[in-house]
Amino acid sequence: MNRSLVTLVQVSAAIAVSLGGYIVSATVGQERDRIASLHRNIDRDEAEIRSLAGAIDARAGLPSVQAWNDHLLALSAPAPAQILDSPARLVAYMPSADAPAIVQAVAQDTAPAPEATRPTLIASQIAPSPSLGSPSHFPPPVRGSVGLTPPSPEPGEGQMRSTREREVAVRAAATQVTSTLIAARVPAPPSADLADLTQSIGRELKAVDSPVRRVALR
Amino acid sequence: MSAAATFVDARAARAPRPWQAPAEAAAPLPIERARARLTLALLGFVAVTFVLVLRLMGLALLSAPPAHANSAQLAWSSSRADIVDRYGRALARGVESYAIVVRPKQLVTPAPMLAARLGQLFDRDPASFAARLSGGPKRLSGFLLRRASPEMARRVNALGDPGIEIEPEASRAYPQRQLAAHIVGFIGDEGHGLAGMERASDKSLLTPHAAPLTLSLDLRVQQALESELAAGMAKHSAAGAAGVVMDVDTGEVVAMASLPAYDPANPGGPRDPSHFDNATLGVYELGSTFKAITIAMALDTGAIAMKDSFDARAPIHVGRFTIHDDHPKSRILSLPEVFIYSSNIGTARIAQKVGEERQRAYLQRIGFLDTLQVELPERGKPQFPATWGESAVMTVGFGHGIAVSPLHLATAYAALVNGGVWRPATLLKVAPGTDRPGKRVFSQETSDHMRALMRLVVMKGTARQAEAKGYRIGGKTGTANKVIGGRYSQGKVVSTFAGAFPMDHPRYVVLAMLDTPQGTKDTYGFKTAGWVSAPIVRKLVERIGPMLGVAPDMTHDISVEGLLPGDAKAEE
Repeated sequence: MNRSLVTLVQVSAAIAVSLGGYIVSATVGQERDRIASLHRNIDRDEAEIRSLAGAIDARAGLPSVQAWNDHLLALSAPAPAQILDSPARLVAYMPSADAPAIVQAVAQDTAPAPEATRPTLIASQIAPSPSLGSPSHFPPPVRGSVGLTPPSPEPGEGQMRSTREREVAVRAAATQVTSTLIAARVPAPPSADLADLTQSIGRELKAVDSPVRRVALR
Repeated sequence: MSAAATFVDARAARAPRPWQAPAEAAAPLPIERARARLTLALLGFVAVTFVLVLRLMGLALLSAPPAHANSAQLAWSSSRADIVDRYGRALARGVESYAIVVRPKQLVTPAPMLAARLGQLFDRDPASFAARLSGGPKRLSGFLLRRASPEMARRVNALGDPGIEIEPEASRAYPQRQLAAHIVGFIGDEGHGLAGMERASDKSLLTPHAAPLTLSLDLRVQQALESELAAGMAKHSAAGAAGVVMDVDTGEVVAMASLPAYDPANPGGPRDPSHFDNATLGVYELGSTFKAITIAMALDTGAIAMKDSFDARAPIHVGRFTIHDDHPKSRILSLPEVFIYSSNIGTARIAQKVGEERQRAYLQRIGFLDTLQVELPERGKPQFPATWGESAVMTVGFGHGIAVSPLHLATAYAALVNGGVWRPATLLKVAPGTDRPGKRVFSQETSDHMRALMRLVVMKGTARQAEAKGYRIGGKTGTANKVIGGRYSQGKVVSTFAGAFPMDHPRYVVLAMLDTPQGTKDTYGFKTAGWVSAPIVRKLVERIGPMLGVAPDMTHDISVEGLLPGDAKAEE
């Protein structure tokens, strides 16, 4: 009786260990298959991303951009006089009606921090830089959508503005001025050219490989 | 009698050995001994099984699976690393593609039927596939299609014929097309580089999971260089062009171009003339651009001083040569005048003062007597006189009789303006802040003098058309007759401008060369470097200056005060 029990225990233990080992092995194998499948999916996605990136690179390649510029846009490199070394000089190009508030922002941005906390209005003391000439060098904007709008009232008028606020104000002013100047310098393409461009892009998209096309059509 | 009884009897009959204890006192009963052995064997079996199970569990749980072992995608993606510019923009990419191989002996589908299906698939005439499917009289295996897209490979595979096999193969896409083609190079059908960096770095590019090869190029500058060179080449109907933009402090080639260029994706045959790299493989007599080097070595050795003057009143006759000036002043010229008027006579006299030994030594130190040092396999070997007599010293002094590649010259100009340290050119990105080792070939003082002299050439000399306002360009023009069939051609020239900017603190060397340019109406028929190459550099610098962080500044410049007597103006 005793020996039979021992044998039964031994056999049961062997079966349990074997079964446990098998189950663990099977589970691990299953997990490995899932991971391998995941890797395959990742690789496939990466391949698709690479393919898409390659297509985009090719279509947005610098030779293509140069060709568009040569044949249609005709943009040229900025002349040395168009590259300014400070925001204060940029403000010299502002039309006089809109200038004071921006001049104030620039002046406060570029001036050394005052010791007193009392604000001083210095717009009237700042004159546009004469060295760059008058904004009349540039023709009026061709594209009417980009125009200058009067700046909104400054927050905390009568109090010192933080450096960050001044920076934001100056950047906003600079962006407006730059946009206007760029718009003024870039002639609008003739409508016939735009139509050709649209048709050409349409033709290219039709010929594009499926991933690119899918993205383009979304 | 049973077998067990026989066994017991035999054991009992056997006499005990002297070293054994008496049997009747210690030995257990035979049946118990057998049972004990059986138990022992069973335990051993269980132990082995347990060890095996443990080992299996260990393998299953602890060992990491081989990365991407089952991924077919990696067969191509890891086969060749990308090539990118210094900001990570792709110049060459590995792309997924497949070779479709047909084994005629293993085809099960009748060839005409298969040809018809393939024709439908590829939208081609089925007859074009018939010959490949038959494999000729010997039914040899061959490629049905190379570099097929994954989609096409899947469709062909879906035909289900065991005689058609799909094999991954290395393939490259060059998204920037012909841009920097001579630098990037191309690969062959077997997936190995055949030209450019594809060939130079073939081994490292083929290393599995290798990081992209990062070049020193800036694609924006490269595009500007190629664009301006192409425009100049077209305007002057030149046979070829070359250009270089190089960082003077590190020797990194920021842009380098050779025209005509080719498309690396379709490079054409091995004898295609567009494969020739004018910037690194071609060697040219680069004419008066050498005068800067001659004057620098003369100043550096103390053979001359900045205040010296030279007799340029009459041509010099030496051996069978007569050295004369293209724009003769027929008077005594100061050193700056010799340089800005590009006087051959004055420079020959300076070279004479340097002498053969020192001239050779300097040319050796700046690499002009050795094959070009750069990573590309297409490297030019300079040509120079076998016998270096007095006439050679004088003619080499103003750039005749010695032929080097444009990149040789750019490297030397970098040393001229960077304080006198020569570094070999490199096409691999140098990490920011890294001090790339070099060797001093000129003193700081010599470099300072040369910067002022080169700036003077652009301000008042033969290179006035290179002046880009605010960018403080300095340099030297050089127009040399081409050597054709061992003789100097009278009508064909190589026009070169080599310089640097900004001259008050040089950062980049710029070189533009046109091979066999023609004069135009606006150049009054001139095809000299001052008319054809200098304007290219002006337009180029105006484009790339802001990109490279060099802002135009009208308020600063290098001082050239006192270099010229009065305010002399050079004539073209």
